[in-house]
Amino acid sequence: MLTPSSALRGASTRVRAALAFRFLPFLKAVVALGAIGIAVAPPSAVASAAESDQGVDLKYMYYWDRNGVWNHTPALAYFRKFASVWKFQWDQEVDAVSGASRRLGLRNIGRLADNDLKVDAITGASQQEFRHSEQATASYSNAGRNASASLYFSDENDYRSYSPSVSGSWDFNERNTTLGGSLALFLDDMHPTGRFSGEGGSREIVSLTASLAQVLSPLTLGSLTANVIRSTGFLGHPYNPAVTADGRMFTENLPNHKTSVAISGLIIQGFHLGERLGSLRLEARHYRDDWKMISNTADLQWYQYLMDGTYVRLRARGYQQGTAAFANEYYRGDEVYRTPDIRFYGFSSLTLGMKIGSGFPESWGESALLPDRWDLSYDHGMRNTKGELGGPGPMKHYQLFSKDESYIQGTFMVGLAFDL
Amino acid sequence: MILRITSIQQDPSIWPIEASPGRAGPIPLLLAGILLVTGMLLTGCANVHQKDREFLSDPILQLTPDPQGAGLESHNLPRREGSAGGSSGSGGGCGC
Repeated sequence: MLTPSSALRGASTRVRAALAFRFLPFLKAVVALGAIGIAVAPPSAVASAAESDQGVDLKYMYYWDRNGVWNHTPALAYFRKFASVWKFQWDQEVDAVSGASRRLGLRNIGRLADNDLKVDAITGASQQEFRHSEQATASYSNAGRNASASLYFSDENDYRSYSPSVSGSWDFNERNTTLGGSLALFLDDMHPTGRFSGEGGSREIVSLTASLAQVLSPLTLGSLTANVIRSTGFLGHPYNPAVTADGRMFTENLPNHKTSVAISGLIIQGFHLGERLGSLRLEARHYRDDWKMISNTADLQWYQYLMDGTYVRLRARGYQQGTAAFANEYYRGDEVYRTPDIRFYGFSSLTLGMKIGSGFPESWGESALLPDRWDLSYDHGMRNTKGELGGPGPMKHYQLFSKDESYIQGTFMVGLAFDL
Repeated sequence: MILRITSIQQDPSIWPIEASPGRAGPIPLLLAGILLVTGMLLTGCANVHQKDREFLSDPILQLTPDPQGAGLESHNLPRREGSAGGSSGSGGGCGC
């Protein structure tokens, strides 16, 4: 017989099980990273990144989610300084991704010999694909004045992007204050193949950023950043049709222009725990656009040196967003604008992360082939996918399963830095 | 429940998009906020001499301690989280 107390016990057990499921991968990662850090960190590590004239940074990112979707992303950055004021940098990135469609919840996307063909017939999304991007940056820095220009290129089978950008900053007030600005232009072209051939189009994105950083005390730094983005052209995504109540599907249709504004503030406070330096970083970001989307982000990070050159970082990031004004759970089919894109529906997420970084033995620094520093991190994301407060939710559009209301995903990153 | 942060609810009835292209009413408020905090930052603190900035030059007190990692995250996170405004990334691949 079900009594109130037994019902409460049952609910409590379910809550505990749900929490264990959501946090267990994160806890495992924390234990693993801690063990690796203790095993690998030498007693006398290289203190920190020295001002080198030439170097290579390697990173490998691996993303997973509970439905078997993954990313493998190796990245390389090479820089070289000339005449003490010039710096050239080359960034290379390769993405091997599965489940590139945003249809969260579809099972086993990208797994060979699974439901790939079925999924592809519905969505036209890539099962597995490769993307590569390159960026060349030239910078000039002298007496507190900095300027840089870069050119970025990204290519995948159905999307190409070119992006020139310029930025500059000026230190003044005895170099306690830094004013900066940047302008980036993205010239993107989406050209689907197969069933969706002929859909898509080009888009142009102009991003203007202004920033202010201020030294507030010998251990405190603050910054403010404002970003305005104007997007025009084809801003949609042809792969995911909007669905009517009786199951008819219509192509997504979005306005061909969008203006968004984001403002973020960052405060960094250093402190000493015993003799070891640590820092707390709190970043808050507010975003809104003329599609009536609003989002807020808070990101808290605690860096702490455990020994010379070895630090740990703990992180908690909360994010919430509202729903675009034209997003509905179902459409009649005669709306001017309609979208099933999950990015335009409300949700909240929580990310917990841990990072550990250290140096290799100082003697390794004598060889250009041996790395000087390493870092390892894991960020565990939990997303509440269910629409909130009775608002339109993306559950049905995205054919999500009920247990996907809380979506679990994780990102590992490992880095090696070489001072040449 | 930890994930159930109250979301901002939108009212579809306020959406005559054809009548208000590019409308961004709260922008003046944002600009006012920026100016206010900027003024506070510029006037509310004494200068810190270069010799006292030893700790501020440490990597863990930098504005972006790991630029390469931050770049990877800003490209991957919005795509995978499905977020519209949580990152500074604005283009350069659709992940689709």
